[in-house]
Amino acid sequence: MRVQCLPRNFVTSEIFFIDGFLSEAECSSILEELEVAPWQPSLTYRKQTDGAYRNELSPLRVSETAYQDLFTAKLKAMLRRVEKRLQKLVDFDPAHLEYWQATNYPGKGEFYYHLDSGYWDDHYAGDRILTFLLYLNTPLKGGGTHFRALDVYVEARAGRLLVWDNLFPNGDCNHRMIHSSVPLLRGKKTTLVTWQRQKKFRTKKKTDLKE
Amino acid sequence: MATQRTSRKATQQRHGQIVREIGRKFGTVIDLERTPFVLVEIIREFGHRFDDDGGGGGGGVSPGVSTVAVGITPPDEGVTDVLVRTLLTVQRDIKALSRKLDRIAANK
Repeated sequence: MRVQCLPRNFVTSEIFFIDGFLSEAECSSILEELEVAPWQPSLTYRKQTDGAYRNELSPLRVSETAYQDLFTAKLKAMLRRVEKRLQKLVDFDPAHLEYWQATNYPGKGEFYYHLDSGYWDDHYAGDRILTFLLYLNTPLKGGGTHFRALDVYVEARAGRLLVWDNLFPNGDCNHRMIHSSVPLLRGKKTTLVTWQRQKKFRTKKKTDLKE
Repeated sequence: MATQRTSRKATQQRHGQIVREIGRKFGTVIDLERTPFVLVEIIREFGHRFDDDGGGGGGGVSPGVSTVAVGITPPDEGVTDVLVRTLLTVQRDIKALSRKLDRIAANK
């Protein structure tokens, strides 16, 4: 697929989407591979009373997540191809990407307004610069992404890639990018997401997956 | 009189700090025609910080302010991880067998 030919739809200077980034057949194949993924309740990253940030469950996020770590070999190979396509859009080192996460939303499933960045000043990979969100199906009602401060709503459509910049040019978290995954009212919604970090996130050792 | 002046100065300093924080979080230029809801977001996040200036009471984190992000990939679980992988392989094999059986049944 010639990614360069697909039109980028800039909603604001920080947000754009590309329809048809994944073909229908690719979405179906990915969904089929995800059928056998181990789904777990989705986690959020939050500051604890001791001041440290940790993963935890939260009622603000109602969905289940599967991690790249346990994806099938076929799906991992597909994602490597997806990353190559992303590199044609944005110049980045794939080692700066976090591992992919698939998210599956039940009826009324959502993720309340939140920011993707601003939590990783002390992390070895730095903060999240870009968010790459891929919608794998088209919900019948709801399920889009809403940027509250910018009053932008992007509908979830199968094969659509949504990209946004979480940081100001000086590296500070841009709080204008607060967004939510709007409740899924009818139909199905599964997404794939990863983030480009300021520094290398992926390292050779498996144990380096640890925070 | 002197106490009032000191208090006013302290309030001004505090407000100055808040304005700088707003600039850092939302940018130093707010365009009310293009992005009016940025102002709403600022009020949502910072409004309560002015509560003790003769307005209402309260305090604390105002509702609707983000405190969470998508969690990152959790750490390796060791043995559990290996077991899950093995189970997944078995699950996939069963699924593949089931598909083959369906095809055979359909061709009969």
